[in-house]
Amino acid sequence: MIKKSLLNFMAVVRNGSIRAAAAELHIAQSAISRQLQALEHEIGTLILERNTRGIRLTPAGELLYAHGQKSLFKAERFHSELDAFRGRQSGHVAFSAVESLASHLLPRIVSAFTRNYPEVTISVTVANTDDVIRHVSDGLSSFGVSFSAVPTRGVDTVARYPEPLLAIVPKGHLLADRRSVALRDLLPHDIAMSTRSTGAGILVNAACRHAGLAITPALETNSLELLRQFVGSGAGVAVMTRQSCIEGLDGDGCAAIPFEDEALNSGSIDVVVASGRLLPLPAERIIEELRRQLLASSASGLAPHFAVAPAPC
Amino acid sequence: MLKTSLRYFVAVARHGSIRAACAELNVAQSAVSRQLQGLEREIGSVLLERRPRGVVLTQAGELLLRFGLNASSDRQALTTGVLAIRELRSGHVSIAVIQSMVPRVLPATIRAFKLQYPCITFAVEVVTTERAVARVRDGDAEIGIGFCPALGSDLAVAHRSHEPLMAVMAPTHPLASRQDVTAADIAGFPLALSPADNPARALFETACSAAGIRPVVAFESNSLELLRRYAETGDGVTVLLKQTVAMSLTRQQLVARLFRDPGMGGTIDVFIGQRRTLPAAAERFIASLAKVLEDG
Repeated sequence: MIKKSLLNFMAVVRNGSIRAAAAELHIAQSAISRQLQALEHEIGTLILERNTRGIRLTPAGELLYAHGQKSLFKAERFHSELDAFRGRQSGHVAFSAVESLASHLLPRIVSAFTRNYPEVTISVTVANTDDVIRHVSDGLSSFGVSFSAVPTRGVDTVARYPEPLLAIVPKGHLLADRRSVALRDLLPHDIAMSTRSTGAGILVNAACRHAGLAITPALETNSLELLRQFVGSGAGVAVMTRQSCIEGLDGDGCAAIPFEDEALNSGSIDVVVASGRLLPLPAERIIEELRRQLLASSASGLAPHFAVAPAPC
Repeated sequence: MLKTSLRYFVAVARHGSIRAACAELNVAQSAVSRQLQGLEREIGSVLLERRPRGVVLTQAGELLLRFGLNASSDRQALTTGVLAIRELRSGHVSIAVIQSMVPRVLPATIRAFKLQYPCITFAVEVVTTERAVARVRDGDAEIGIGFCPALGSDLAVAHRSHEPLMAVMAPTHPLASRQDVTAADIAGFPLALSPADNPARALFETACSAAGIRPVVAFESNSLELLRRYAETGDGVTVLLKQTVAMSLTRQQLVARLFRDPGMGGTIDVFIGQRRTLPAAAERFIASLAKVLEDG
């Protein structure tokens, strides 16, 4: 549907050089150079500069790249509409999501979807919020699910659900019977938290600044699994998003306690798409399901097995 | 940027007839028919039914026509956007400059440029000459302006103007009544200078040692603003490019005197990367810069 020369130009931009694009596409560099010249001729101006660090787009080249991306999105949408008209859905949906959804929400959504649409394949890239946003704006992902995303040009938030951070404490812990805690209350205990640069880490920083607290975490990690294990083994308390602790703690009697600190309750799960992009129909179905589940879980407050479970044994 | 087959299809669908489309496209019917067959194979659906009085789109054909028309209007928008860049109705200029350009040259150029091309935006980074060279070489700035920059073969001078070093002092200073001065004259007063890595400072030092003078520096700063203020308020003398003090001279807060010593001057170079062509906005901006530099 779209000219090969435009597709190859986009590959050059993605790869950062003609040489790398030629290797990826298995065609000669000279062929790509010729196509680039033809494109420049067609739009009547230079589209890229070559320098020591590879290529750099001219302003017109940037417009052309955005145009190419828009065309690809629309072609994808067209094919999905054609599929729907033929009474089947096929194709591939690629999306990105933050890790906190990987243990509970995503597996449910993906398995329900693949049951209903056996011919559609899905790939999910788990990444931090910054990368999720980048994948969406670069078009690598149809949509993204991020945590407390900063508004970014070229990316629209289509749904947002509150996602508080919670204090996760092991069974029998001093704080386990509390209905709520302040971040200050955790200070005497060994604290585990997400790396400071992550969405959750940034909220903890803000809460510290607001409350005038300097916390020295016993453990800072980018692994949610490790945070859960830390609490499960009785080593201390952890600060985690609700979604990331729904699964993997149940049955061992850990308690998830809401915070009183405003900053720790200000987080959100955001569903983001490239501005103005009409998604392929299967991707729209996945987002609908995601919204349904997120709405249900944010309405229910804590997951039931977190209702300050008494120690099971 | 659509494939030929899709462009043909859109033309046929719009005209409702292959023959009429061929007339518009100026291609043979057989060529159009072949392209349409290829497209139907690619998409996996019949797109149009041939009737005695032209063609009728199938449902798949209707979907494809909607896509094709939409893509054509996107293509129009691309043309319009490219034209806006060329006609400077849209664009951005990134510049790495030395402090000396800040008091007069840059604001004057930007003001003049904005009158003519109100939609162009600017990013100006104030840096040392050495850093300006690096910024342009790395492609982080389109235009660099420096004093006597060491440009490698990968950078090109777009404009060069000669720029004298000036002895700068308060209007009440004992040397202010002179027509011009020598390095030996100012060495008798507290001297405020840029740091040793500054090209103007290096030039001054070279001229001094040629004259057999070893000036004592009372005060050193990388802030030209600070050096200027120092000269304004005290009995000190500072050595600066003429452009740096242009506004203070107009306001008669400072006086500047040329040196009689040889070698007390260099060039202000506007430089760019070795590109195939500069973006239109940058090119026009350099022309404006050149005018402002030559005017003063």
